[in-house]
Amino acid sequence: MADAQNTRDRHDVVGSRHRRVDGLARLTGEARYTDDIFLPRMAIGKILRSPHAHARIIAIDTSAAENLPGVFAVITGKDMPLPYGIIPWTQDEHALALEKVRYIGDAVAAVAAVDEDTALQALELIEVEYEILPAYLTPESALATGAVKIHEKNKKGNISKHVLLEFGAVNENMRQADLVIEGDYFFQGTTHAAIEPHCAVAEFDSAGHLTVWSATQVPHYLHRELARVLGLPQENIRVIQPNLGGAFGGKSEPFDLEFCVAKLAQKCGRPVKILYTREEVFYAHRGRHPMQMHYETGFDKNGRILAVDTHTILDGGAYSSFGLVTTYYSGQLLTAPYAFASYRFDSTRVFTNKPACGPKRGHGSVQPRFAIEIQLDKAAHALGIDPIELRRRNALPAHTRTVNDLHIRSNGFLECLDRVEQASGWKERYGKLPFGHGLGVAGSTYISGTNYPIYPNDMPQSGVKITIDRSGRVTLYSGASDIGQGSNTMLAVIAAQELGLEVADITVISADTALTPVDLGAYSSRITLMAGTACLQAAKELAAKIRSSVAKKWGCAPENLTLIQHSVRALDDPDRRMPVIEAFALAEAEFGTLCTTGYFETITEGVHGDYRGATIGASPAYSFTAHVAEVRVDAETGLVRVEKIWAAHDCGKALSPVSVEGQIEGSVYMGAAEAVMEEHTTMENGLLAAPSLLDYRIPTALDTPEIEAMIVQSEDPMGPYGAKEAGEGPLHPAIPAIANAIFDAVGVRIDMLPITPEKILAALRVKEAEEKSTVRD
Amino acid sequence: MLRPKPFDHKTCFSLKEALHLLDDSAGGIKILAGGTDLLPNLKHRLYPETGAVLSLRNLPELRGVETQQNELIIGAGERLADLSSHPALVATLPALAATFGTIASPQIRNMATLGGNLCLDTRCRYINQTDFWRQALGGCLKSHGDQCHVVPGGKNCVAAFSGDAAIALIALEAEVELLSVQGQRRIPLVQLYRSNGAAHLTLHPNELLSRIFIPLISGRKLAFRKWSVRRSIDFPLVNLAVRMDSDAGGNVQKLVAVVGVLAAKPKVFPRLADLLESGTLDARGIETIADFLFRKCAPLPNVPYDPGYRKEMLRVQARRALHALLQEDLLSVRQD
Ligand SMILES: Cc1cc2nc3c(=O)[nH]c(=O)nc-3n(C[C@H](O)[C@H](O)[C@H](O)COP(=O)(O)OP(=O)(O)OC[C@H]3O[C@@H](n4cnc5c(N)ncnc54)[C@H](O)[C@@H]3O)c2cc1C
Ligand code: SF4
Repeated sequence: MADAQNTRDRHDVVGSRHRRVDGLARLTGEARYTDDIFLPRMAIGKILRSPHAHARIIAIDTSAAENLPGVFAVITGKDMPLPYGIIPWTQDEHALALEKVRYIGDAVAAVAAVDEDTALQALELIEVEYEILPAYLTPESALATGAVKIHEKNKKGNISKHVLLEFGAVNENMRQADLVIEGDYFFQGTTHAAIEPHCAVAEFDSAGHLTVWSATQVPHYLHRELARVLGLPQENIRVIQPNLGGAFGGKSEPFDLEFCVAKLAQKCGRPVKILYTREEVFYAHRGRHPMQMHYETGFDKNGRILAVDTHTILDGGAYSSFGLVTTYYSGQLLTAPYAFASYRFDSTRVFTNKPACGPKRGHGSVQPRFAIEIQLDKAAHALGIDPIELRRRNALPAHTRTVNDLHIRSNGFLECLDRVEQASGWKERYGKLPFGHGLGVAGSTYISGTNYPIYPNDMPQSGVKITIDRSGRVTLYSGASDIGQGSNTMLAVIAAQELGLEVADITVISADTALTPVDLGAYSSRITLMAGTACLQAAKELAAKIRSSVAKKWGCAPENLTLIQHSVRALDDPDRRMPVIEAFALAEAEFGTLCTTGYFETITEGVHGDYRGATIGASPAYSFTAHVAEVRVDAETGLVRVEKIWAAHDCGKALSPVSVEGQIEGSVYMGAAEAVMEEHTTMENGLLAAPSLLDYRIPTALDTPEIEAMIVQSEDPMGPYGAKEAGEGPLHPAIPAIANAIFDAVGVRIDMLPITPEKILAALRVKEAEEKSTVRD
Repeated sequence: MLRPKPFDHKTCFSLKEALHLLDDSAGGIKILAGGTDLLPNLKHRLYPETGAVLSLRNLPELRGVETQQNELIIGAGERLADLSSHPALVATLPALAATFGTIASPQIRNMATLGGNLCLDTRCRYINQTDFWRQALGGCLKSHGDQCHVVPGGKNCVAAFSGDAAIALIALEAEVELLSVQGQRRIPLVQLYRSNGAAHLTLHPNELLSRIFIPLISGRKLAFRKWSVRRSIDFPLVNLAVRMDSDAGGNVQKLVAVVGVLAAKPKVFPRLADLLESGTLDARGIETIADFLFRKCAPLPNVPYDPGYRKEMLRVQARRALHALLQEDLLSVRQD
């Protein structure tokens, strides 16, 4: 028995280093992306965009464009007057602007033509008369008295959302604190910069049924919104998400082009494709909100956190997008991995005339994480406590509730800290490196899926169906979106593990609303936990059927059988085995066609508290991360070189360690880029300063630090095999760890992102001047 | 993807044919070498009058590297990737070869030619943008507009010359050969440029740059430095070259600096040796010259990044370049 168990472990698919299901196809160029779709008679669509940051549309004349030979259809806002938006309570977008444009790049009209050149020519022929309105490019100007409302229907001026929540006696604790650290932080906006631009293709068949292929991470929500805006029954629409070339949150809500291809296709009776230019991707944005954060943190003399009081202004851009959630997240997700004795956050999201902000990897919580982790570093220095030790003293235990009543089960944070401390040689090196060379630490937590669906309903959040055909091939159907993060592989790993197969034996069909059970989409790092649980359930049920048929034949108990290495084996007699394909046939003969389903239902018990807003930020399980960053700073130029980042991430259980490592590396890369390089900013008139990948700088391989990814496995009771998320959490600590390392290197704090060399030089000069004056005194 | 306005693509198989095509087209044709500058600019629709491109691909006359009587001659069609590792260059002018190796990125260097790099259009954050973006801005002197956003009220375009090769080559007193159906002229490279960012080349529309001549002088040393945010791909935000000619006794005869990315024309400082009190390049001299260049150069907000910081960087890079001249082993380095 023990022997059989050992064999089992050695041949586990879960936790093994295997290939991705789509790895080769992506490497060889065989994988088809949305823009690879060419349909017969397909027209090319283009969207006319506003050159004004804020204006009223007085008139649109499309007649010249319509008369241009080769133009099939022209549409404007009037063709799709219903508003949409990812959050049901804040639907304030139109596929094409109805009355107003709210940022440079807002969509105004669209054409479909025989080719791209003709479509572009047609755009030039559309005459739009605008009445220019004052453009608000900062939250301050948008909030000033007398400012024109960017959304007329908004109740409170240009405030998009305000959240104020308080837990415990903040004022009193702050008064009693031995040390209060106060700081102002600014997180500059950044964008996703996925390499594949947004693209959509639409086709109507002769029965009037619409198919939309789109580079989206939320096919299900897109399905619903298309039906609503186009006024078509949902059952007549099919949304297919082809292979995706990256998303990072930038494709997690409906976009103008998806409605436009559908409407244009309907109007011109041809399939229509629209592919964004890179510039349009920058306008579509939905990237990280710029946040101004005022933080006050009270500590006792031992470094324990007594009170955290935060004021945050979120620069939301022109539309709501996920902003309601972002505003909550900016406070709700701060309450782990450290115990706060009391906590208050006051966050306000403001509309401005810029591309809308939304969710980017680490939605809403990367910015506050930057602030708090620097606050902790400042406190550690003020109290003379090692920054890692200070974090240990404040670390929450496993199986606890946070100050805002989130239920944490597994928690591998302390192990994460230990791992980075050891690997980086922290004890020997921290604080002892020569001037210009430094180490910094930071920790974080993230959700493994937002607990509730975006539109309230009691149905499962994710469904999986598994079938076995007589060849022995297993086909798995899931609505989940593989956006490059490897969710299809994750599903195949689980099915292979349970059915005694290999990853390559499983065909995964995903994200096609006509074929696959609903999954809500690739956002909030929910898929491994939710779709994984659904998959595990379906696979286990199928495996049980197979075991039971074989048990019947062998006259033994099904519990005594295991599926492993393409065979069914008896646990107590390793020589007794049956090829799995025979076992499948036995089961099909007994049970009929083999097909099972599994689903993940919303967990309603004990996940969160019951105050207003308690549901936002709640998750079935939380991941934990710690980073140590090593930097070199050239004090003459102010240039920072991030040499290395050690990242330890508690993902519960690594179903595919290579994928987890990849997610950690990708996250660290992205965080490091936001720390020292990226900024999505506008010029004085509201034009984007850098709407191209030349000017919006993401690091090249030469600019990327060495990354050591370490996996910590705390096995959460809520996740499949104990798995939690790994796709977003590992980004968070990179930015404050780098900022803290810069302080260790040259003794200056840069609390405004990105940390550019001129900020460092300026800070060094100030420091020098201060030191000189103290010497003189 | 951005689409250029449709254009004709012309090929020719002899230099003569190319020169006639250029002559016949009265400026409506653009020379296409590697295309790494021309094609992005066409996609941005910077040249509305351009109806055709003339490919230099099949002209062997524009290739080759040879040494003749103390002169290194490089064909304008030579690719930067090849030049950066060319044995003749690495042996005689290692700092120049290394300079070529810092330009853009490996992929771009595989396409980009030296001629194209010398004829690179000027750059400005208000111009290297899409047609849509520039129209939303209201245009500028260099593209259907009558204002300059870098120097408000200015009547001259100050878009930045952003090539690296020319900076090093001017420091080396390189000359270029320009051909047209009318004949051939040879001018110092520095005279190829003028200070109008909207038309920064003195090259006539019917002329083609064919060869580059670099004098080989013993006792001459070159150092090139550049700074850009990323360590690959980015155009320089600061670049400069320094050249020193010394006699056998180590006395500096001539010290020259050339600075790019200021305005449309590289700036040349030919008499820096006069600033050396001791007649040799020592620590004090290095500081003096670095300070002098710092004071004399004023980066503008024409390319991205804070001009004040770029000015600071210029001093640091000048210092580092001058220090490099003191080293035996000369290699041009990028940033830190
Ligand atoms: C992303 C990016 C980064 C870059 N970074 C750098 C950098 O760091 N440093 C740098 O110096 N450059 C940089 N460049 C510019 C690049 O090096 C130049 O574009 C390249 O050297 C031009 O050579 P080409 O052969 O591709 O020229 P083309 O694009 O073919 O031509 C450029 C211009 O020169 C004209 N031309 C070409 N050949 C001749 C000739 N023989 N006679 C007359 N006119 C001619 C063309 O008509 C055109 O106007 C970068 C470019 C890109 C796209
Ligand atoms: S320098 Fe002035 S005129 Fe020239 S491109 Fe820039 S904005 Fe236009």
